[in-house]
Amino acid sequence: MFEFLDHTADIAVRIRAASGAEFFEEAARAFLALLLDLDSSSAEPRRELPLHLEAEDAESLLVDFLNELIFLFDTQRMVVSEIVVEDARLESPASLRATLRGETFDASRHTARTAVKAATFHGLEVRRTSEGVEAVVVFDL
Amino acid sequence: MLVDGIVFADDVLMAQIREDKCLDQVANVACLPGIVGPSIGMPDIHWGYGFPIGGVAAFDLDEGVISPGGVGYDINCGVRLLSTNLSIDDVRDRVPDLVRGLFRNIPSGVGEGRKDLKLDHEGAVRMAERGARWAIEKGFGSSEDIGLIEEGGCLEGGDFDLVSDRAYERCRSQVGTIGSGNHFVEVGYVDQVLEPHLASRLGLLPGGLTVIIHTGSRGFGHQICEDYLRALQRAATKYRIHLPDRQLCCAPFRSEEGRSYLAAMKCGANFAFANRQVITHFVRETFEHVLGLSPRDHGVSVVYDVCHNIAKVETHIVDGQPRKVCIHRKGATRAFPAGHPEVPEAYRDVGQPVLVPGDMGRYSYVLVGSPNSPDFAFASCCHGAGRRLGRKAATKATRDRNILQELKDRGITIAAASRATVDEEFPEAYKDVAEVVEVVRKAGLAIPVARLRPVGGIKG
Repeated sequence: MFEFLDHTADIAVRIRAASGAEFFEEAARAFLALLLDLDSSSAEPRRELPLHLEAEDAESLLVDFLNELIFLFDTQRMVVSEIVVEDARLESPASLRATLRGETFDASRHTARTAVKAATFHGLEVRRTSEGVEAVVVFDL
Repeated sequence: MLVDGIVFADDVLMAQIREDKCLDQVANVACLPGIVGPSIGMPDIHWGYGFPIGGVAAFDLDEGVISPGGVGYDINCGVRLLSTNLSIDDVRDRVPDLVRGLFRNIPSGVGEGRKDLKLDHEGAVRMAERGARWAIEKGFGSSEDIGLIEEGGCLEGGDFDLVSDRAYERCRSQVGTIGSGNHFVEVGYVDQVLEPHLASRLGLLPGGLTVIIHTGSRGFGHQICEDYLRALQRAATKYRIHLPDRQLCCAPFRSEEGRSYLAAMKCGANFAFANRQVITHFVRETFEHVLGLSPRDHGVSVVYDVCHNIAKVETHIVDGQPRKVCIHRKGATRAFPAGHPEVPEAYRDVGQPVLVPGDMGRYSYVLVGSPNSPDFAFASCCHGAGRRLGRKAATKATRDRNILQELKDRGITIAAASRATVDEEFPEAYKDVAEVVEVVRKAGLAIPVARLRPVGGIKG
């Protein structure tokens, strides 16, 4: 699950998941909720793209993953509606292998909420909890 | 802390400032190696990433560092003010048409740039290395505009080879777009002249129609920041710099990593100068199409263009002696006084214009740099009102309100790509910029010259 938290200038999201795979699925859902007004639009899995990321630790991997979603929207107008995780490793060195599914942004069907500049390292810590994994990530809007 | 932290504020602002963690961030910046003078907070300071927004910090060139976190994701986010030959009384009835025209003509929100402005690699290199000059060579504006932009609209020394392919991909279709968040193009007028002589020298006459452009380097700058945050996190480990927060990552100013970031950052800054120049051209086009006026009749001219997210080498008085420092201004503008060699010739005896936008509903201020600014402020000033409410709180506060209609009832026409942005940016989400400017005036950081009142605008 995810929930938005307030931050003076921008927005933070708390992501909680039972596993590494679910953690990235939730992160993608949170990003979609930031990008689109989901009350009036939805994104469909019409095209897919493989993704493989490696990073020195879980924090960097999460930031890289979210920034990849921002990059895909900025350069290809791709709105990722879901991801299928094949393998997610949060221990250093961290890695993610997944398939991104989504479609091209279409202003006639999609209502954009806001452009997102970046996911930041601000106070970021990916923590193991008794229920699984948890992190609070701040987006620069 | 290696040096003091100094925050300019009165009791009311200080109470608000204490509500978030920006004072911790002022303290964290004061711990970075080679900091010269205090870690400074402007009266509009609020919580940022690593460095606070509204923060100013100078570093020694030999012992000090340069940090992408001290500039921010939106490299050279800044403000440009345009004056016109028109009076609000001449065009008040046409403002809604003008706003619709601007909204059609200037891509905003998540929209891409105009198709005729897609850059190839060679174009991107020229744009990133020449800034506003590139835009003028392409026919977007006149050479007269150049002298009225901070640094002449181009930071020399930008090196496109130090910019990643991903950054190039993100810049190709974004020149001439305002983006979203707090970015805007606003139509207003001079509703209060505080220093008549100075205001008239800036071309700001009572009732004169004005346009403010607030945007930056879009995805290009964000990607440069992101790439170098990562590179400089590694550099900080390599040079054994202790970081209280990863977003404070930095490298010695003279290291290869530090120099590379500066040269890449300059490319981002030049994109932003080019972006505001192209948008200025779109504003002029819109005035011509909507009002049917010739350029001579509408007289849309650049008053000034300031950066408020930037790192630069400048000479300042430190301990009574001139010294070159690498100054970071994140959510803060430069404010050189009259007589300073870096003030454009046209304003050399007036002082450098300082542009401080407020919120959508109230007003914005134009100031000039003051000779009374204390040396430890490094000729810096605030950059805006500063947020009072977070975006989530703002959305909640506006749930049962129609902000567009409320603004319309106050004579302000807003066209926006997203209703959510309008709600998050509603006037009360911001502090009263007049309170911020009053602190600036009392501290002698800058001299308030004129107040501008909005009548319309476009948002992302």
